[in-house]
Amino acid sequence: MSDSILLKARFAAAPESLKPMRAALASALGRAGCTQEDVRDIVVAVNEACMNVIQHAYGNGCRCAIREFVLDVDKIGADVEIRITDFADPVNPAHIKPRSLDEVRPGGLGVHFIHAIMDEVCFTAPDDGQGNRLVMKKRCQ
Amino acid sequence: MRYEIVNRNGYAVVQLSGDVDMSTSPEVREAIINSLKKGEPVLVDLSGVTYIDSSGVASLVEGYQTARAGKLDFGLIGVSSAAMNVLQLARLDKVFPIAANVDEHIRAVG
Repeated sequence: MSDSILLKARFAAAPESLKPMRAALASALGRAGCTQEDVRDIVVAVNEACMNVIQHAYGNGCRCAIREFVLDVDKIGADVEIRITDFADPVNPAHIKPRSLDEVRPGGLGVHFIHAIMDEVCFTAPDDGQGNRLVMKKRCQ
Repeated sequence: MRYEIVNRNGYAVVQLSGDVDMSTSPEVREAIINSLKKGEPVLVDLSGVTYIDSSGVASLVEGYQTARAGKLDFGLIGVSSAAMNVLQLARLDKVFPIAANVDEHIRAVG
């Protein structure tokens, strides 16, 4: 199985970007031969990660010159690697943890979804050292 | 996303269709909460939902909690497979009353 770039796209960090982002991602994963179940799950995880960028990285009074995020999706062997890069103030990854599901309350489910679906989730430094980059990997069926 | 509220057997049935995400979930929340504030029991019909994210789920949880606080009935009906997948991820499929349709919900609550 050869390695390939499935998608590279830049989106405005706005809620209205999520639907076209999901469509582009699902299309790229489908073309790469991912199963419908993998496509469905990966789209859920990536949507939540992008929501966090919009809501938290660019929220909270961020005075960022650029309010966009870049979505990179690569196929590496049987893995799909997804990188979401933003240009906001650096976040502390230690503060981004899934919450317990024992308590029924609105909010805080996104990080749980990401960790439940993806096989690897970590933050790395973007190439130019500015912003944040979330890297997620999923071993496809 | 589109929604319509219809009355069925005394329930305000909030019929959702399309994608319920961060850009549309505030509308969903408002529709559910407004019906509950009028004292109406609410059923949310998810049969036409093609996608729902955690913000949409949060709107449903808020409706559930508001209904419980007001001692009003609340449930989900016709849950699509896309919505059920996300509810199961959140382990909320065992929390919300879920039925195929209004009649089944009424039978279940007795």
